Amino acid sequence: MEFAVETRGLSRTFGSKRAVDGIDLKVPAGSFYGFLGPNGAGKSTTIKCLTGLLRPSSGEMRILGLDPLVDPVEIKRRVGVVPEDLALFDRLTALETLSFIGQVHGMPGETFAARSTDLLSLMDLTGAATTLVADFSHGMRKKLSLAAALLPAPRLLFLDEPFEGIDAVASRQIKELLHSFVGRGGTVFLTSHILEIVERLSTHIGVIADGRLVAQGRIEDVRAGALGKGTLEELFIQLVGGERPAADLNWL
Amino acid sequence: MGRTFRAFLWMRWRILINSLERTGARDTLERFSIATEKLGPIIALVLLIPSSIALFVLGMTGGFGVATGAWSIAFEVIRYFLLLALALTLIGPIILPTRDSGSIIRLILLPIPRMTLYIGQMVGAIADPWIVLVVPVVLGVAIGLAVGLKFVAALVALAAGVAFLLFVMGLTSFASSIVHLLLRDRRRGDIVMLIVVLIIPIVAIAPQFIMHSDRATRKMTRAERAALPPTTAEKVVKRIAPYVPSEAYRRAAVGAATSPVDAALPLATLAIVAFAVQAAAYAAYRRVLDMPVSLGTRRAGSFGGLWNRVIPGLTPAASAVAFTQLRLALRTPRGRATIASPLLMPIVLAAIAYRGGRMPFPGVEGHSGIGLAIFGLAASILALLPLSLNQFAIDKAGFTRQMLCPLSVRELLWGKAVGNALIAGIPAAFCLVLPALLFPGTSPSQWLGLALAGFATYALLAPAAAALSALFPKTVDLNSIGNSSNAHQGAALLGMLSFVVSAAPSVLLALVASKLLHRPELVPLLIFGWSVVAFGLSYLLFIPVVRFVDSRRETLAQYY
Repeated sequence: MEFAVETRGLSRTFGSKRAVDGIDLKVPAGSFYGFLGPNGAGKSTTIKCLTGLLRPSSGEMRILGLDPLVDPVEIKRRVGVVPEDLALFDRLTALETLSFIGQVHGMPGETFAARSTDLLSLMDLTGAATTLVADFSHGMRKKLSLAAALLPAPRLLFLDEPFEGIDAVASRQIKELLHSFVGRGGTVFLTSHILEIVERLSTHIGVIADGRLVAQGRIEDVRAGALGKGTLEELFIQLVGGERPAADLNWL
Repeated sequence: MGRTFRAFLWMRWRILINSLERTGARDTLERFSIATEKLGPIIALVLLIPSSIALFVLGMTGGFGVATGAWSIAFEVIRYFLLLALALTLIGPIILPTRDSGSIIRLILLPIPRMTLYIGQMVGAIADPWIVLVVPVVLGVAIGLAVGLKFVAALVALAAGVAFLLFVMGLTSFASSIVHLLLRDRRRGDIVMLIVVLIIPIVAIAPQFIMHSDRATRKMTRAERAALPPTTAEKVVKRIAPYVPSEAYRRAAVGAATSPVDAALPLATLAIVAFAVQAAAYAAYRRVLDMPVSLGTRRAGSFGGLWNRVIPGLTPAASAVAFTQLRLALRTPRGRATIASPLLMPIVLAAIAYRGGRMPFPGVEGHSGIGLAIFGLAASILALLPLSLNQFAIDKAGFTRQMLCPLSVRELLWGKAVGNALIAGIPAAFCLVLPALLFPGTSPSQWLGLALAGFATYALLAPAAAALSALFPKTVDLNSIGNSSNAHQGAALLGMLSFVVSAAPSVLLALVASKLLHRPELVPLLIFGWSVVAFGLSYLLFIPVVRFVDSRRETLAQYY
């Protein structure tokens, strides 16, 4: 099986804290991979390592068959990212942001014009194309960050909470877009707290808790192995050990 | 109200302690960077103690001198010190960081009456050094008067001192609320900041034009000048002066020592003015509380296809970085100030020189033209330093975007260097062209030599600036034109040193050719040779700098 993302013993420590602790990810090419975990489990740190924003403390990585430590620029040509903090220039407009991405990717003018028009229209940002990002709402920023990730037509998308703060209409359109992207052979690596979305979209999942990968595989296989049957939420709570008695705040 | 103030005090104390104890530094270099940044405020804080003691003694000496009738120089010093505090109070909110609307929103959500919030904000003004230093002065004056056995005068001086403090604190609160109201609309804020940038140098030279500046008076003695009839401007200043609060304080304290009746009018003036300012400050603060968030959206102008061009010698990716750097600078008040302020330098200097009779204007004094251009060129590069020594800060979150793009660190740094050169190039070109037009007698080769000297200086400075930006990262507010938009103190110090080192070879070559060899015609040739060497050196210097910045990427991404 060909893997779009493959790691061996990937670890990242911050001082004495081991944020990512020797994980072995296997994301098949052409899959929709949902990466789940409770807050502070190491999801964003993992994505940052995979996208070259953080250097791993140890372990190996292969992204689209390439080593990020050897060919970082070549990998970035083929990968689109919506990072946790969206990473946008505050004082550029939406169109200028896309233009920057287009130029850095060496995109011809006509290609850029056609793609940016399509993406701005899809994200319902056409009317705000010449508005500064500083004046955008959180949802608009997220849409623009997604448009920036899609513009160079990547083969692999890393999406960190892409649906948080996005309205229902755009959310539906984006889901359809991502589905067709995967249908055409692209790979999506997505983190989300909205388990229903992950359940509906993903073909594969990985669950991380306390920096360790506690489950990974096709979603049906993971579910069958852990529960026999049940919802993703039940599976998730069982895997991360989140079953706690409800607090009784009788003063409230 | 007491509980609220206790909570505020505790919160500020914890923020201070946490900022010292929990720096979040990842390595030794970052710890060093943070430590040097905190060194300045700590030294200032430590210096406040002897300064306060000295000012208290000055106040006592002044008060005692007034009480005993032995008019001392001390009270004159106090007079001008209070006037200076007043002036700094007015410009403080412009040069200090803009108030964080987020913290105001958090405060509004708490069950705290608006008046309590206002008093908390107003009392917070005492943290400004020029206001806190007023306290020992006015206390010292009152105690000095009491020591001189003028007890009523001491009470009057104390009341006048309290009124003066209430006035300056109210003025600080009023000015910061007004700045907040102006800046909450981004477009209006940018315009206001740009106007301030243009006004500051004009205000600085205004006294030159208001006061006696006739060339003939320069040769007069002090007594002869004093005998001259006052100009209209001087008459206006004299008429307004008694109502200036610092002057009203002086008149109240001095008048009370001779007769309490003499102090009544200035004291009443001061009290009324303080009350009026407090009322206005409260009204302005209420408006801030009513609408603390930013208003309006801003559409950006388009420059057609200019930004999409590839700069010769750069890759498309590096060109995109260069144009983005320029575009972002043009959209921040600090960036605009970087471009606009050096533009004014030759104009202001030429006006002062002309006024002072040192420059026959328009004339053919080649040396004056070259001097003016050198000054403008140096001002253009120096004005760039706050941006170039913290060159990744302007991107904010866009820095991470660049790290995610197929862009090597080398392309990023070359793009930044060229972008910064474009920013400084606009005023530098103006500072060369204007004197060249005004002083047509100078040979074109000299102007070319000067331009090459500027290029050589910048070429050597660019890798140093990139390295210092990575060594001393700092989160800045480029909406401000003051300290909060400046680079890290360590970077500023070493950057200035780098500028001197980078400029020195050109200066030395010019001196050797013109003064030692007495062949000024050799200057452009020597500087041309040096600029080629400087470019080569710069290219070589960028190699280790690229490695260094690459090793600091994670730290930089944490800052922006």
